[in-house]
Parts: sequence; structure tokens; C-alpha cells
Amino acid sequence: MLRVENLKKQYGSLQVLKEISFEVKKGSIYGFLGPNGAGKTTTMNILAGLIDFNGGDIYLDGEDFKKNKRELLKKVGYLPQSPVFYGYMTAVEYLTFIGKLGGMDNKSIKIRISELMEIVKLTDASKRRISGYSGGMKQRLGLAAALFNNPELVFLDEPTSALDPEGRMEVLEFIEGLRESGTTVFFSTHILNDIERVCDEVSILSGGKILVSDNLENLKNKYIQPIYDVEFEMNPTGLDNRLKSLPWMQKTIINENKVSIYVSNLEKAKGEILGVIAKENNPVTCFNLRKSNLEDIFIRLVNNDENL
Amino acid sequence: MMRTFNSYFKKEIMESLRQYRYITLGVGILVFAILDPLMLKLLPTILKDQIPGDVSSLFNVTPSYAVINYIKDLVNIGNLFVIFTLGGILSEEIHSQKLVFPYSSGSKPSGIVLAKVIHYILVVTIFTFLGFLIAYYYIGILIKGDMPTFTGVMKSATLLSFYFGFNISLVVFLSSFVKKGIAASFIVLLSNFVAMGAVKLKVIGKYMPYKLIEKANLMSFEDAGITISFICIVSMIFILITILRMSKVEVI
Repeated sequence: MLRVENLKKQYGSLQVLKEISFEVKKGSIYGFLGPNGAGKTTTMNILAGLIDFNGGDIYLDGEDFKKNKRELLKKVGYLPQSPVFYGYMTAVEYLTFIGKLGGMDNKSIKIRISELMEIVKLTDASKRRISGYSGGMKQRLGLAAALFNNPELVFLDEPTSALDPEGRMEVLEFIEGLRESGTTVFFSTHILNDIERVCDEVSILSGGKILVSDNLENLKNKYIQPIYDVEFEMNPTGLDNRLKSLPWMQKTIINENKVSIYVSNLEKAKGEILGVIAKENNPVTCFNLRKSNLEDIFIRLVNNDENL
Repeated sequence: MMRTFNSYFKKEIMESLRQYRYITLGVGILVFAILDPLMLKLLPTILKDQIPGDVSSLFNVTPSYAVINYIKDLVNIGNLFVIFTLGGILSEEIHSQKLVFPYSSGSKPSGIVLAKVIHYILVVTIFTFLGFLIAYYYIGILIKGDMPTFTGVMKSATLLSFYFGFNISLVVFLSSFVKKGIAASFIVLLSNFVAMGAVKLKVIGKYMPYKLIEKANLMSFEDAGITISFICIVSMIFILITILRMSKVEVI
């Protein structure tokens, strides 16, 4: 659906995007993650055709974005971080304006407005002037505006950041629903839980570079920490000496009845570790392979990107 | 392009109604059409008690003089209403990020620029003609003397409309480059003052937009063709550059 190759953007001598590349598959939900100032919004703004770029290529459905930007943008919807509207209009008037820009007829516009107002829960406020809306209401109206022309690809920049927990959940459910309707979603957020909940793939961006781009499951497996946490009923005295001789063993940390076993070869350890522990004659109350969540991976990557 | 043009044309009408732009432009152009003849009629009476002697000799008010007086007020004051009302027409949209949704859904910048320019040129032209009609009507009622021909007055209205049209295209052009609309308005105002002086120059005088005002005072199109053609070409260049600028400008 979307292919970005060696995308570059600079403001004067400051290089904001350093030749980033990634691909978004049709119908997927793609998470774009990164600390503040990483270049997420700049990337979004380029992809939404709002700012120019200094190098690289963007292909939307195989077509060159540079050559055919305005036409290709008809397939796109964009929700900026802080959406701005014509405050003197009502939500219905604004969405009618967006619908007309997209070439929809009056009947389709009317149907789409009532559909979307229901979804974003603004039906009661749909005839009020937007200047009187709260931040959350504007965010929800922005979502409706971004999706109004039934885009094939929608860019959402921090769509849940201004919402309360209930509103956040509703928006996430709505985004999940978009996958079922075949819409491709590309969204950035600093809320890692949101990415874990709805995304199929994720890119982590830092300092204008993509540190990693992968399927969420692959990422978790790739960055899994090779540590087993075992809790015994009694203190496992001398266990570290007995484990030392094993070829896949790296180190053992014992803290009373809790043991952290660091292994150098996870595949080998998986097959043998339970047998070794069972021989201890000390009942095991807890056994766990320490799993990384996205937050661990994010922090590790962003803080140590030079070691990747 | 037509889709964007139509949507933005309707949006400009709504915006002008709700943000009182029509009222502002109307006040700037129409109020003098009523006030000028009335003031010219009442001034001798008002001053009669203030100045001793016969003041009627001080005021040789003819209908033609009243029309010229209205033109003077339109150029000096009405023009300010036009320029300052429209200074932020593009800069405000760009810098307050209101173009994000339209641009990201594939709107054509040419449609946006043309909708704005054509809308305001039409509005100001309608108000100008309306203003001259009102002024002509009141001058006929209030001021004694030989009335200028209706055709002559309509010629003045046409020349004034060209003058305002040029200023509108210039202010829209500048508005696409500046951050604050007021800066665009002041630059147009300054250029108007320069043109007022430059109109006296032999070689370039006939190309100055202010030449149209001189012709409007004479209520004649004589020798105005070259000025009209020149400012139309320059206005089109301004509009073209504005479209190019709006196609490149970063709206976020």
C-alpha cells in the first residue's frame, strides 16, 4: 500500500529524517513509535502531503507520490495531533465542506455525517459551532474529518492523546474496526499500550532514523531477554555452582529463594532447564521466561541504538 | 480544480457572513454613498451658526463635485476597509493550520486561491456599483445643479472596481508570503501611496493603478485602456504566483 524509501527531510543544517525506509501493507494497522522530536510528525506531514521532503521516494499503491501527489492524496485521510477547523462552522457544516471537497454528492454526505457523528459520539453536538468544542470533541471531529471520504489509507498522529480513558478505548476499538473494513491505518502514539493493543507492525524511530521495523510478535521474540526467573519454596543453596558447568549457562543471581538464570543459548536452555531444576529436590513455586513488552524494547532500542 | 473552487467559494460566503466581512466591506463602501451627499448638503447649514457672514459662497457644491467627493472617500477610506479586511485571507489559513484537512484530502491550491480572489472581487465590485447607484440617487435628490450622466458615473464605478480588484489580487498575493495579515495590508497601503506619486511621472504614470482614479474623477474611459490592460496582466501574474506559492507552502 505504502512504500517509503530513503526519505530525507532537513531544516537548514538540521537533518530531521535520515533516509528512513519502511513499508505498510494493505489493510494493516501500522504503529509509529518514537520519543519526542524523533521525526514522527514530520514523517506524517510528508506522507499527508503537507510538507515537502529533500530526498527519497514515496510510493502509494505503486504510484510515485512526487509525480501525482494531489491525485494520490484523495486516497488518504489525515488526523493531525491538534486538528484545527473553521470555528464558525458547525460539525455538520465542516464535514459537508470536506465531503464536497472530496466530490461526494449531498445524499452520501448526509448519510456519512450521521454515520460518523454516531461513531465519534458527537451527534448531540453536531449542530453546535466548533469554536465551542472541547479538545476531546475536536479530536473526535478530526477523526471523523480524516475518515469522511472513506480513505484507503489513514494517518493518525497521536489520535488518543487528548482523550479520556473511556474515549481512548472507543477510538482504539474504532481503529480495530477499520482493519475489518479494509482501511490501512498508520498511527503514531507515545502510548505504547495502544500500539500493543491494535497494531500488526511497528516501527521505532529515534533521532530521525528507524531503529527497527517488524511485526509485533517477531519483535517480542527477537528482543526477548534470555533470563529465567525461578522461585523455589526453600533457598536453593549451591544451585549456582551446579548450573555453572552447563554449556548454555551464563550467570546465576540468587536472592534468597528467587533465582535469575541468564542463559547464552536460549534454544538449548529451553529444552534442558526444566530437567535441571527438577533434580534440585526443592519445590518450584514460580517459573517464568522474562518476556519483553514493547516498553522494554522501546527503551532498550532508544537508549542503545548505537549498539544495534 | 472546480470541486475545490466551488467548496471554497461557498465557504468564503459563509465565512464573510459569520465573521461580518460583508458588513465591514459594506460600511467601508456604502456608508459614504449616503453620508457624502448628506454632509455636503448639511455642511453650509451646520456652519452657518459657527462662521459669521455668508458661508454659501465657500461651498460651491455641484452634483459632479459630490461624485468626485465620493470617489475620494472610497479611495482614501473605503480602500482601507478592503485592504485591512482581506490582509489575513491566506496568511491566517496557512499559519493557523486550517488548510491541513483540505490539503491532506487532495484539494487544489489553484481552486482555493481563485475562489478567494474571485469571491472578494465580485463582492467589492457589487458594493462599488451599489455605492455609486446610491450616491447618484442621493446626489440627485439633495444637490442642485447639472447632474453628471448616469453612464459617466457607471464608468467611474467600473474604474474604481478595477482599482479595488488590483488591490485585492495584490493583498492576496502578499498574504500568501507573510505571517501576519496586517503586514500584507500595510505593504499594499504603502504601494498605493507610491503609485499616487508615480502617476505624475511621464513614462510610467499611465501604468499606475492610481491613473484609474484620475480617470474616474473625469468619469471617462479615455486613455484608460492601457492602464486597465496593464493592471489586469499584473493582477493575473500576482494570482499565478500566489497559486504557485500555495502549492509549495508548508501548511503545518
